[in-house]
Amino acid sequence: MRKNWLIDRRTCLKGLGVALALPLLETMGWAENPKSGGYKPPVRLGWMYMPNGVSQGHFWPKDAKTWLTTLSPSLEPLRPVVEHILVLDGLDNLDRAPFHQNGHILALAGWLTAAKPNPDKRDQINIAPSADQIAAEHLGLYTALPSLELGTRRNGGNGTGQDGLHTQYMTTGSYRTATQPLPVETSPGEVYKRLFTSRQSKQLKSGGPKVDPTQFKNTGGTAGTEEGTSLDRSMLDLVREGATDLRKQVSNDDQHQLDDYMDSVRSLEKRVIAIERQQAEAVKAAASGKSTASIQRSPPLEVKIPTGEMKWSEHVKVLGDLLILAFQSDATRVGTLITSYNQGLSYPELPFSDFHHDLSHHQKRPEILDKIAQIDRFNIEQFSYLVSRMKSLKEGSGTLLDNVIFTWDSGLGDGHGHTTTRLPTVIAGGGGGTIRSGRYVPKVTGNQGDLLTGILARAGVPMPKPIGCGTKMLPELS
Amino acid sequence: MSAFGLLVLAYVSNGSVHAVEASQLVQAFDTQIKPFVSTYCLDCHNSEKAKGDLDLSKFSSGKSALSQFHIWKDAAGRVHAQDMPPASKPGKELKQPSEAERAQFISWVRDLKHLAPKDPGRGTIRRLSQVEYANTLRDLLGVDPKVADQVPHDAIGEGFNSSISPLLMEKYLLVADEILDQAIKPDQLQVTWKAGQLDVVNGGKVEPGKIDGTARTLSGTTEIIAQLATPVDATYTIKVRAATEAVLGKEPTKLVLRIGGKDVGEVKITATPRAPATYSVTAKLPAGHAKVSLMMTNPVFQPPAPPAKRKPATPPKPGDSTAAEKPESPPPEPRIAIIETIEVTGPPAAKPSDLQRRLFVAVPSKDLSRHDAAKMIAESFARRAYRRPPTVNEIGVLLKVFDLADQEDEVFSQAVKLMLKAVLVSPAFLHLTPDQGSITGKDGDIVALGDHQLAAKLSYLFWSTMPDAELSALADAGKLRDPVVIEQQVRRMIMDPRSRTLFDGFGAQWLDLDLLDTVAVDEKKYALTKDMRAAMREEAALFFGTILREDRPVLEFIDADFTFLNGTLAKAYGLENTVKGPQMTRVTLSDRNRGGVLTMPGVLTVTSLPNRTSPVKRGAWVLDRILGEKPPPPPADVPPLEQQAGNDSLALNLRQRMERHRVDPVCFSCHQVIDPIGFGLENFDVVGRWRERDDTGALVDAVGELPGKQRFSTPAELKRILIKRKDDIVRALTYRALAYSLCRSLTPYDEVVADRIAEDVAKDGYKFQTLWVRITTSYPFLNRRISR
Repeated sequence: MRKNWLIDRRTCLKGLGVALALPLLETMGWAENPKSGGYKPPVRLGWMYMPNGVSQGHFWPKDAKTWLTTLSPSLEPLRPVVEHILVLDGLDNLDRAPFHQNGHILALAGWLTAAKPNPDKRDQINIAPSADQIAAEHLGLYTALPSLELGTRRNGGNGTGQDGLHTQYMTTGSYRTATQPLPVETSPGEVYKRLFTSRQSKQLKSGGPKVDPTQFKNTGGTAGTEEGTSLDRSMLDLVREGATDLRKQVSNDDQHQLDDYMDSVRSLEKRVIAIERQQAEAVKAAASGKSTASIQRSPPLEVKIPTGEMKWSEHVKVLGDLLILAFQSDATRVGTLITSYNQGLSYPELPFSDFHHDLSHHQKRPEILDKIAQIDRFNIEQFSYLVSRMKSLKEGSGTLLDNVIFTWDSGLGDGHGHTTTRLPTVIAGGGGGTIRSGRYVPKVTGNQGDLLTGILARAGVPMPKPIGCGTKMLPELS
Repeated sequence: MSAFGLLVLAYVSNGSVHAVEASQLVQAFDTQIKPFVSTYCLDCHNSEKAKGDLDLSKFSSGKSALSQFHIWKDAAGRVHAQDMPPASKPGKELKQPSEAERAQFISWVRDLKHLAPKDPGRGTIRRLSQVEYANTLRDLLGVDPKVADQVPHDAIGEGFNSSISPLLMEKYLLVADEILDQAIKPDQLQVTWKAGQLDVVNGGKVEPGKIDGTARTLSGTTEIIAQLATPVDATYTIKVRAATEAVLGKEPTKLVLRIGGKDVGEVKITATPRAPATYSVTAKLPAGHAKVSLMMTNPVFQPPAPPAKRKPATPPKPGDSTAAEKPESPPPEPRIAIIETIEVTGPPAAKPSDLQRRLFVAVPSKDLSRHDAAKMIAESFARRAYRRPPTVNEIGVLLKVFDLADQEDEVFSQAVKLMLKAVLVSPAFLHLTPDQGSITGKDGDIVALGDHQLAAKLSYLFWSTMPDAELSALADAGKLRDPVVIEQQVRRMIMDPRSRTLFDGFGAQWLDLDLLDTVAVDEKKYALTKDMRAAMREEAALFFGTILREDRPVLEFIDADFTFLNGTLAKAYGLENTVKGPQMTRVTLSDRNRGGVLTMPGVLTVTSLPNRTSPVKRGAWVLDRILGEKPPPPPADVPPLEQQAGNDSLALNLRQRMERHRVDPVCFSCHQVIDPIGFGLENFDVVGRWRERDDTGALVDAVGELPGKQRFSTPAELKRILIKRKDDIVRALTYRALAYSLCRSLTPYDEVVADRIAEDVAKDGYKFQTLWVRITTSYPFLNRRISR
């Protein structure tokens, strides 16, 4: 049997519409645990986003003591997994000045950056790298994909909107660099193919241009060294080298354009290397009989990719399932799922067709707040479904859920005033024993930046400074 | 677009650009603006308090104000809307400027752009959008543009984000793979089995290949097997890379090669495991599937002792033992052969595709080395793919890629394929880049675009694809920069059917029709089917295309007596008895409540809410998209007008509810213009069907009045009032079209240019083609500033 976890394209396409059995990937950098003698799975980081804030009155638990039994209406769907849940109350993000006009345009942009755009370059994308990308920079070294960015709707957009800000801020949560917004993938089939189809590239017998190993150095990992190189990788390397030539010839203003290009080529090379390395690990492990397949793991999550039109909840679930599958099979360790943007979405599955955004300006009217609470609850339902899925997957001595930090939040507290205070924040998972779950913390002592800093630190991501407006790690996580 | 343009309605509509004296503007800052700011603004917006992060005290001159033009435009918009200065702050009434003072401030800000130095603006490199990438692949390689569907969708325009993310890069590589794998078949059959892929048969039992081994061993009666498929009857070469252990004496280790049960040759191995060697056998083979097998014919050797008579090489039979050796010799020892790879090559597996024949402009021969043939291919392909002559260095990179594959013993076509793949992921293919060698000059110098860059800029603007032969030839001849030639080319390109992409790019963005696919509407209630959405978009596309190709006045966008309908869309017009079938046909409209984009079902749908119309949305849309005025959004804690408290009483219809809100002066200044326009369109329901009664059953009241006592009572009359503002309309369209063409937001100097273009277009009968000719011959389109 070929111990190759990648599936050829045709087989993979067959996977659309039917559940396809997938292999688990050979894992790398799963530190051996000196105590138990087994492997310690790494911490995986996931984020899920809902726009427009929540109905605060329906959302928050009454108090920290009774909340486990008397869940608030919006959090009710979490009941089956509530002991794995941490609810954080009192998180603030930056206010929006000097962008006073905008209500929403920065909610998503500030979500994982805890930062604001550069006001002098507001008509371009110029903000800060987002926490997920800072994490991917480090954790992505071990996996075939550094990170996954998923969403139910295409993002992007041209032109400027409120306050003269680039409209792409409205629909972009992940920023690889200050100037590089990342597109989301919306098609489950495409995500599936990307995760599990193979690209064949002939291995070089010898030589080829030397790949600078320091560029691909695995910081602090246990992964192996370079083992040969493929034609594609060498080709990319030559092309990238050639780009420096073009770069010298263009204007200063245009150089960052080519820097982004070269950086993405490098990232692609890394991806090819990671796949090759993962396959080489599989070979080595098979030869030595010390496969990490010996780690106790559930068989891969079955994901059925729907073919036709999807309801919103189906779309969220299947994208979430793919993220979980990617975590489980160690195809990536970082992922985001944006369930909708602030404009445009109504929930036809609920018994009313109002736009989410329009409702969010509720004027404190109880009947509108009720509708918002139904939307909040419906979103939490999807989150809860995914948390349960993670809980059902064995991993080592625990479950996948024990080794993730899966955060659900919204860029606003209350949509009515576009507030960035009391951001609804629900964290699932144990973070490899670093998160103390089953708690409601009514008053946290930090902001969104502190939260992100605390989460990244728990996954072992080195940070030269706290994320965005943060100054420390949020103490209430443990 | 201008945030303070509302003044145009409130004051005198004056579209003409008068020469504004720079010195007057500079002077006015000291005599009028500075005193205004310090009297009405600095109380809060000073360096200490900087309320809302705004410090207006740092501006010391008109020039410094220009450097942050957006702040001043925003300020002017708020001053006009009477949003600023606020009436009071805690414990203090605030002094209010007079109307004249407000007007003076606003008009100074409007004219401020005339202080901008003549400058074509930054940046010239951008990547291709998804559409452009797909179309370019189509024209470059003759492939179906759908191959690029997996690339994230986007479109160029103002603020196009040009950065290439890792996901995008990955997709580019996958698409290149897919195209080239399809197009370029190996020019030879070439199959290689690595040891790990070879199965071993031992005593009738098959041991499948193991991935871990780098070599398979063969001894005794074991047999190594693999399955081969030969495409045609022909001569094939079989190369076995192998070594043997423990060869003592001179006799090589001999293997018999059988294909399809027939002996085809013998492999005599002498190489040691330290230095395996390749052994070739050629054989005529019939087409079909066959088993390839290797087996040893002399599985044991006789240690040196009394010389023994060599056994004749006979084909061994499975189970045949060596027990017949002479008993007096020392015990024989087994030989071991180590097989690393088996490779079979043969004649072409398939005929080269058309594409391959086109791309391979040279093939190696006696007189042409592989490297030189590759160079010719690289030069020809890169010229087209990069849309300009490639540089020596660029060709050098491609040839390095070719050599890399060539040295790896790839067959010629496969080595070229890797090189072509390199072209398709190169920065010069994925980006529009300046002509090489044209980049000289120091920081701040302004240079003209090269001919090839200009050709590409034009062709991507009008066709969303690479230049055709005519444009390329003009660029090669250095003739394209002549404005007369540009005008000819622009008009030619517009008349070509490919200019449809100008609607798909510019038109759809301008009219917000990209939202049609996803706009949330109660589909059952309004019968908004997929076909209907498609027809709505198509109507606008054909209408836009007609004004463009027939060079009609842009004012027809506001009001025209024709449109395009099919049976589906005719229902929205109440013309289902006149127009039938799926085909869109041109229809003359007798009902002047229709005609023009304002009353098109597509536009009316994207400016509605899911289950009712929104006069505010429609009114604001018309102001922004047609008249070029963007009212400042309401403060964050003010909900949309329809949702304010106390308005849910059924006794009040939508209109009455909204009128109550115009009592607040802050709301009034903007809504006095927005709301009447929106109400003037209330006869159209959520999906643009005519209606006499609204959702509550009440008769629609489309009567309204715009500032200046301009009254109307039907959409037709509303259009007649709006169309009077010819100059605003053409200016608004020019601003958008110029920003789209330059792929960035306009600088103050660009606005000066846009004003002039709009004037020219007005003078030339508002013709739509004139607009595009003027844009493509404008200073910012043809030049760029170097920054170092």
